[in-house]
Amino acid sequence: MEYENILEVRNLKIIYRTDDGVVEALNGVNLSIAKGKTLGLVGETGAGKTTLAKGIMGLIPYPPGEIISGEILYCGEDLLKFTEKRRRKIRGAEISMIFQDPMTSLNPVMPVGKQIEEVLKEHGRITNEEAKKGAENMLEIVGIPKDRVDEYPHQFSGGMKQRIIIAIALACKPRLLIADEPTTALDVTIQHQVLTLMSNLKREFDTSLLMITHDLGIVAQNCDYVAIMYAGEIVEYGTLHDIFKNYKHPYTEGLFGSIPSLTEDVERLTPIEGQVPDPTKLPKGCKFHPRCKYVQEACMSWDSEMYNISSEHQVRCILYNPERKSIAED
Amino acid sequence: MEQTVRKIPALKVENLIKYFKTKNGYLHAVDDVSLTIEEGETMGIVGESGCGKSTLGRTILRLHEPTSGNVYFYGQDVYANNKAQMKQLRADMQIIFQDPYASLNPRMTVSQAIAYPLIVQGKNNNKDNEGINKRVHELMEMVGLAKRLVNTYPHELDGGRRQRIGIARALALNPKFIVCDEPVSALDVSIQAQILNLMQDLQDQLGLTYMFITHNMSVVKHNSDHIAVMYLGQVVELCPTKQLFSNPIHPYTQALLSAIPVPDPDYKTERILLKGEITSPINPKPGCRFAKRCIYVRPKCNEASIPTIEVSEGHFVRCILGD
Repeated sequence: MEYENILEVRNLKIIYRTDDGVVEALNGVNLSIAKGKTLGLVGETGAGKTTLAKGIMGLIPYPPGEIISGEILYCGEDLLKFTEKRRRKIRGAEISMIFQDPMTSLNPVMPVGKQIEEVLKEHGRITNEEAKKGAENMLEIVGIPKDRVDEYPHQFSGGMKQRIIIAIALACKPRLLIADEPTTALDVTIQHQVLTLMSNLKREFDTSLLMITHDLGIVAQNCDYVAIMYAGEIVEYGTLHDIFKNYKHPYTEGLFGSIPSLTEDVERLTPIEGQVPDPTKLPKGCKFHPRCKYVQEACMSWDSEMYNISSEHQVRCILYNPERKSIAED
Repeated sequence: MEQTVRKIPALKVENLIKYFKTKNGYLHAVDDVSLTIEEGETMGIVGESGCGKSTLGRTILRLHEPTSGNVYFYGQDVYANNKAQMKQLRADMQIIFQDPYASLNPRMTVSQAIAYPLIVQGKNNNKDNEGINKRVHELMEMVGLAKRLVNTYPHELDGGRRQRIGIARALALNPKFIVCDEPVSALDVSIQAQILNLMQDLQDQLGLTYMFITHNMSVVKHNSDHIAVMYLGQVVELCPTKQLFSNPIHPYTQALLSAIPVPDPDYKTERILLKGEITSPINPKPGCRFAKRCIYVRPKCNEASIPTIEVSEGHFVRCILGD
């Protein structure tokens, strides 16, 4: 089957049933990643970024999680229709993930070399000898001397642990890598090292990358496309240039107004008022309307949809409804 | 006798040293730090995790006893105080903590948490519930907490609101000086901006002096008058904010500034990729602590300890290149 995009998510809805009610974590997410490209997924706590990543990986815990509807097309095939056995084959080998916190995602009682060998053995018929060689090789690639292969996670610093996790994620040369806040726990100089390493490896292995972050700086320096997420929806999607130079959605505007600039002098920040909505009680209509400074009557009963600004730039805001505009002009 | 009245600085730190004893030797958390903060100003303290910036803040407030050195608060020697004097002084020197999830007692309501400093210090008669309540409401309004939240518990609130409680609590006793230890690091950007604006307003209204500890360079650029860059327990560069960004002299400052990802795809800069990571602060070798990662390293850097020099007025650097 012919396909252009390595990954295509269509109308994905995921909920969590909890004692406090139904958490609507993802409310119909659409996105795609082209081969070899990097998509930055930006949003605040509770926007559903991690749920989306776990959904793609097939790691949504059931219960309480439940995929209500949608498709996740990987190379043109719907992952949600795969058997667990087949998904397991793909997970770690073709689609792989770097988790947020390097301090807790390694096994503390297993030498790091063994943790890299584990993935290699799971996904290939190789001897112990070959697995060991492969693990040493991966460590070298991420810049850790191979004679440390028998050491335990606590013997490494935070930046090194994150590099070990990158080594595990890339050991089988995946075609798609999902990085969930890969550098949030790291200092800036170390973050810079890790991001440089990731982009070099991405080029070398020709991997597509979904980069989840809340840091617009990281996005600007590393991504080709950007999706802005709010309350389980993608509210704006476009090329790097579209989002940074020609953003449309009021939420995106609010995000840029909230970050203190390094290059310009700003007297006062212009934050978004209010708080992120409770995901068990999402507002009706546009989910951003209670915090939006351009809010209108119509926003409260609006059927949320995406409008095209250009062929690659879409926005989920009533202000950009082409039909509405023509009515206004009449 | 006519003399120009010299302003007394709000805080003067002289050669402050704080070592912690560990199994493997002494951990040099704060090693010979000197700095001065003028009244009504904000001093930004930046550095990476483990560089001793939080320990510096806590030692200044005497939450840790110093190994040696002096701190003067409006001319008063902080470490010479006895317990009773210290308690009095604490009303003037407060702290806002990093993690609004861990720094509030989960079993205290919002009003109890904010009232607690008032009760401890006995500023209001303990029986004077009305006076305390009035002050609590005043503080809640000041930091933008709705009145209806007065009897809620921290777990019912989001991070931004919790941090507002932390700020209200720090303000309860009308302090002059507040150590802000990463007050916005745990918050989302949109909430972070709300809190930064709030802190700026409070400073203008109440004439507060801040020591703002953070690892986020764009935050200190936004709100600080002076910045001190710390590396492994030492201040390696200290100068007015504008100067630090326009003319950084210490190689570590240069690397740190160049490593920040700027949220502008057209922004291109020569990035300095540092090799290696922060070395251990336990029994550090004499000489420059940054020498191992420095791209300009010379043999002289590893010989003797590096003095701090004033390269231009108010611009201090701890590097031999400053000469």
